[in-house]
Amino acid sequence: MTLKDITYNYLFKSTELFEINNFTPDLNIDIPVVFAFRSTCSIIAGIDDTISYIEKYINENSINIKIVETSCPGLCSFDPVIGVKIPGRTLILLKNLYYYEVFSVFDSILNHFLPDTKFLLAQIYDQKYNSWPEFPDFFSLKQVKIQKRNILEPIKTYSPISITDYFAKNGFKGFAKVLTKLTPSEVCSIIENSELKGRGGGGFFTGKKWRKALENNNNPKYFICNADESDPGSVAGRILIETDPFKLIEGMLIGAYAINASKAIIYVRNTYKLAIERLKKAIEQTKSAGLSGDDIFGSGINLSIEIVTGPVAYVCGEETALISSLEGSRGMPKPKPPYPSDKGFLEKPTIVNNVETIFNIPSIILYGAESFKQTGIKESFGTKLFTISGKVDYPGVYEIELGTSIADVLSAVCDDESVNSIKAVHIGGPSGGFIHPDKFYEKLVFNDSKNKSNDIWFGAGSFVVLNKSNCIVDVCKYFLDFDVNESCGKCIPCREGTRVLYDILKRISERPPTNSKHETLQRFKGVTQLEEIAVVMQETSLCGLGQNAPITIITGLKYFRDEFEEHIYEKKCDAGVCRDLKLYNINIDNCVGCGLCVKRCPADAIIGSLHTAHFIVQERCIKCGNCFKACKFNAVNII
Amino acid sequence: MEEFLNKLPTSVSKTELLRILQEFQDKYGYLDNDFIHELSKKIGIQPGKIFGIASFYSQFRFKPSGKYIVNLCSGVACHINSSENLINEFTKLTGLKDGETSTDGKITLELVPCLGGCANSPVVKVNDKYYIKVTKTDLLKIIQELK
Amino acid sequence: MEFTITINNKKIKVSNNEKILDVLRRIGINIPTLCNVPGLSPTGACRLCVVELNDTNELVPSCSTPVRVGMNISTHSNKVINARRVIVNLLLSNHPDNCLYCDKRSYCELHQIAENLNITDRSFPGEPKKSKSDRSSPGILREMSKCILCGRCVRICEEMLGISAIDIVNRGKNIEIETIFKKGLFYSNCIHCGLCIKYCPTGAIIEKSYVQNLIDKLNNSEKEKVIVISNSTIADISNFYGIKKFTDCRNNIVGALKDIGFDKVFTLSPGNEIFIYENAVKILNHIKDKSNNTLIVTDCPAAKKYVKSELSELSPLLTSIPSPQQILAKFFKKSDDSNVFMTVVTPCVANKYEAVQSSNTTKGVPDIDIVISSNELLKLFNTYGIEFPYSRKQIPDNPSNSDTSAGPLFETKGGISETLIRELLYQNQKSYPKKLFEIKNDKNFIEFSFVLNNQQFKIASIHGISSLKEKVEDILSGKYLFVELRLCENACIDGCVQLRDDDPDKFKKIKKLILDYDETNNSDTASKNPFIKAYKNNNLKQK
Repeated sequence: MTLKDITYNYLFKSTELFEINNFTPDLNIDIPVVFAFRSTCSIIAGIDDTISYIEKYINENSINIKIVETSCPGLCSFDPVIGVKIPGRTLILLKNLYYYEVFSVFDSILNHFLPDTKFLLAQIYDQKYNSWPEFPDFFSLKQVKIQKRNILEPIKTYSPISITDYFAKNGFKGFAKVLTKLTPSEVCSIIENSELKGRGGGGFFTGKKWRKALENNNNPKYFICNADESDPGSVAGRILIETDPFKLIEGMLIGAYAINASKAIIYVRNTYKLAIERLKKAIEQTKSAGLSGDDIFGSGINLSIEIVTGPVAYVCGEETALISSLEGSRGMPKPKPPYPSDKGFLEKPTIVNNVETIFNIPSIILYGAESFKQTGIKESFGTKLFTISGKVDYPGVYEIELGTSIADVLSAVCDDESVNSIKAVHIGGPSGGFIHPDKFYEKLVFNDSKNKSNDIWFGAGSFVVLNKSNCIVDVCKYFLDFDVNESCGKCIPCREGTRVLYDILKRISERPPTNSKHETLQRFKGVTQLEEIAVVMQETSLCGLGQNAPITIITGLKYFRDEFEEHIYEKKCDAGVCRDLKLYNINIDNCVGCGLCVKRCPADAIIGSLHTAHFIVQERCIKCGNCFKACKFNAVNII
Repeated sequence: MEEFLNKLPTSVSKTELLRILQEFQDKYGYLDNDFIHELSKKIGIQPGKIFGIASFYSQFRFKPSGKYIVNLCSGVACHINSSENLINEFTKLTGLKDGETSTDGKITLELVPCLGGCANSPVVKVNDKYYIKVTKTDLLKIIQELK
Repeated sequence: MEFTITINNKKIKVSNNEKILDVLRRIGINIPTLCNVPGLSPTGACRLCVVELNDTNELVPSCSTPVRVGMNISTHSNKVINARRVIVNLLLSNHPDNCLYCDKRSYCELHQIAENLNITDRSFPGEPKKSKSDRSSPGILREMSKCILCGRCVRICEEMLGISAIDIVNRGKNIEIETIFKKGLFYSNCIHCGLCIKYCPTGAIIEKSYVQNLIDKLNNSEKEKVIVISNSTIADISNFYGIKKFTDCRNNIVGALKDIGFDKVFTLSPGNEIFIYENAVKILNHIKDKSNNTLIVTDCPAAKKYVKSELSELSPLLTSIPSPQQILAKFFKKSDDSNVFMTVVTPCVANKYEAVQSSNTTKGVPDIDIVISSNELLKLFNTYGIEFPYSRKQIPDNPSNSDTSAGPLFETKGGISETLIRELLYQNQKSYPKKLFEIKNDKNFIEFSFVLNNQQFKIASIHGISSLKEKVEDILSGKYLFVELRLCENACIDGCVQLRDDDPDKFKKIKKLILDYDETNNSDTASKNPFIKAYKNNNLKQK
């Protein structure tokens, strides 16, 4: 049987859906199976070394073990994660299995002994198999319970690049349904009824956008996936593509069909090597299966799907900039109107959707709009991938049901002690803002910017947790620096605005060059200027980058104004991050050379011999203040 | 360069520009003046414009890079878990800023906003090798190894 | 479709798809803009033109937003004015402060906009940009620290000329407007036409000035100081000061220059006339040889460079007669140890570039010692306190004392064709109509037929690169006997460094000035000039 025959049997011969248990792999094999949860984050953690050591172990011990390469479950603090299924026993998940631990751990497990507790992550219970002691139930882990895995499986136990495995999970059945039973207009209606909103940050109704493109009769049309994702702090797009490239392809084929486009293009950031590799293989198999190309399975529909690698610029995440880049130009946003659904790529109707948005499409088609609305809350149906990082104990990529409160998320990703020391959460990346602990009860929902009900604008889902060792001014500076470098530079409010905002923040977080009244006045004016510029940037910038860049500062000032003022008036940075605020030096008139400060200095920054005046070497000084506290002679000056 | 250009069809569509530049750089390491002028004739875009378009994107280089490309992560997680000091530290130790190559041609610094190892920050990548949870001392060791 | 919208509480009639900015200009409301270039599609880059939509209180860019039924706009509300002030202050925060010494000081658009918004101090502190200047071009100087990235120069070079010698490079805080690999204009495919100088709103792109060098030479050089003035310059000054007769202004200028210290003063006409004469001879030979090619006749150095580098298939068709000023240079500097210091006053900077080309040098020294612009001539007069109308009038020196009216006519739109055909007809049949084209032509491309020796010939008059590009096939097919080619839409009178004058009727007035002179003049073609007759006979050609 050719792949096309298999495809036909699975998808078109009958429309029955398979009874699938998403969580337990149906592997009734009589040899042990090792699951290598391999994606970029686990590669960085060292999973390739782990895998080669497992292979070494297999060779040296001459045993028969099958290794399945799959994709990571998004719980990055546990990387590298390895799954082991011994015949007759449940699947167990081992965490932090570095290469040098492999031999001893495998010796234990293959002999049915428990390895050290530090490796025990969880097991997947199944009545068919004997469970292990000590390994907790995977679904009882708080990091798993907080999630609602709709577009991603909680744990993936098959290869991301096996189309037949994807079929077995009812993959491409949505596309088959669309091809055989629905008109493009009907497909648009289903998506419209689902009230699915864009997951890339815009939050527009996907169905509405599609409908506009469908109604435009200017051909050829284009359906584009925005997988540029240069948001620092959000890796949702990458995880999605690495884990389930076929789902993206299916979503794109459905979307292209829905707007009568014949070409589907995936614009992926060039640096996502693994994602591109898996996506390319998946596209090849899709083609061999006959699901893309001309006259698909005799339907008369032509759909081609290709990858374009983006040469990397954050602003290309904006749809008109992305289209410019595809056309071979600089990725500079264009004024809207005209909207891409009217005049997009090569002046033809174009739809640009985010990766995560497209991932929602196949199940909406398969199970219906009402089924989609069972998750989430009114005006914010479905789930959203949040990339949680920073001062958390369990960083990773979490699929959270919209309507979940920030507080609930935090208790799942932090241990109790850490939760209490959280200073703020920054959500939404460079286009987002701070949330104060007083507002942690707020729910993660879409924010209609016209009727601002809360300050949450989660953008692409970057979720960064800060504690007392982080400085709000410094974080603002960080995001502004990003904006300054990534601004396309076309319009004045954004290009010059981000630069001046950064300069002002820099001035606030550093010691002034002189103590002149003029300098002081400039610093004091800093906050008002920040607010003045922020407003005009929001009102007049050409695209979202400039319009949203000031939100970080605005929310920072709203909730942490005292921290800004401390920096300005008292030249103090509580978190100890803005070290350049102060200069420590020694007054030679007062110094008697007792040497106490030298002993207390952790950076070896003070030099001087006994009974002579000492001297602080500025390059080495870390501004900890120990010398000031130690000196009994008032010889240390802080300016 | 000749054979690369000869493999291209006689007239190339403008939408292919970035892909061609990427392919050339993947093969030869950077975009040089001669290549841009020759490509200009085939694709019908002026050399000055090709240069302007390519320079917009972070990926393209116009000078050969060093033997070792050091990527320091300038992503938010690495910054929050303190890697900004690493960037300053690296500059202090090598004198290099983002995009610069050392005079002995060994090291090029390229900052990347988010390498993808947020749980193991700070992350440093040298050519194809990753280093995780890097401290200032680790960084010093890495640089010494490279020299 | 027409409808009404409300602007500042008044009902205004508009047409569908009109942009708000066009409507506002139509009704006399002045909105500041920096990135807008009339004739090119709007980019919405500077955001200064924002206006407020009263129903949503949104600010929208008026240059790129079309009118809609029911629109209610405030063009100068507090919100709008505040936004404009902040935007300009942002630009000023890193703009150099040395306005006193800037060449654009009286004409800087940024300066004017800041003044109109009552900005009196640097609101947002910052360091003035430090960028390297590009001094590579002999005619164009780029001081990039003054660049405000409005993008006009890039769009002119790209959309009007298709050259893109400069483009926007990098992004974010490193963004700048640069040549390829930042090598400088001289090492790029720049044709030094100077259109970028014309459109730059600040002092970022200006002409390279040699007027102070000239003054030094006037005071210190022992050589004979010769100056040649283009007719475009004369006509420009004439129009600027309201002098009604072309020759009156010409003679005023001659008198003034003599008083400043020049030994000999000429117009460019002798050069123009030799150019016309030589081209006429070439064309007549071309006809005799029964050649089927189209000849390209041009004196424009920018157009020549463009053809040679961008449309090389047309290159062999150039008649390659040197430009009028170079002809005169060879004429004045007859021998190697010439004791002449020659200055030329031109309406454009391409001539500055041409003067340093190796073919125009002798032993590495340019034949023309200094080229200055009409603007610089005015500065020279200002330095010496000369005002027009000047008290003294003097006729130009020999051979310029027998100038025909073909000289000035040559430099107008359609002038090469007009004067060349006149000369061809004169040489052949001694008679010709006075006004060939009715010279009301405003088109950048005109076809014209004339009869010579019972044979009909077609010629074309082309102004501008876009018009040229459209006709390449026709030219290659030999459709025309010759085509005239100039880069500037209104020919040399429209030169990039002519006097700054916003009068929209400027070209009409100048053309009228020249036509009036031509109409009443009998000596109106090259061969009628005794100088040309002598040139013909003595073969006073290039050395």
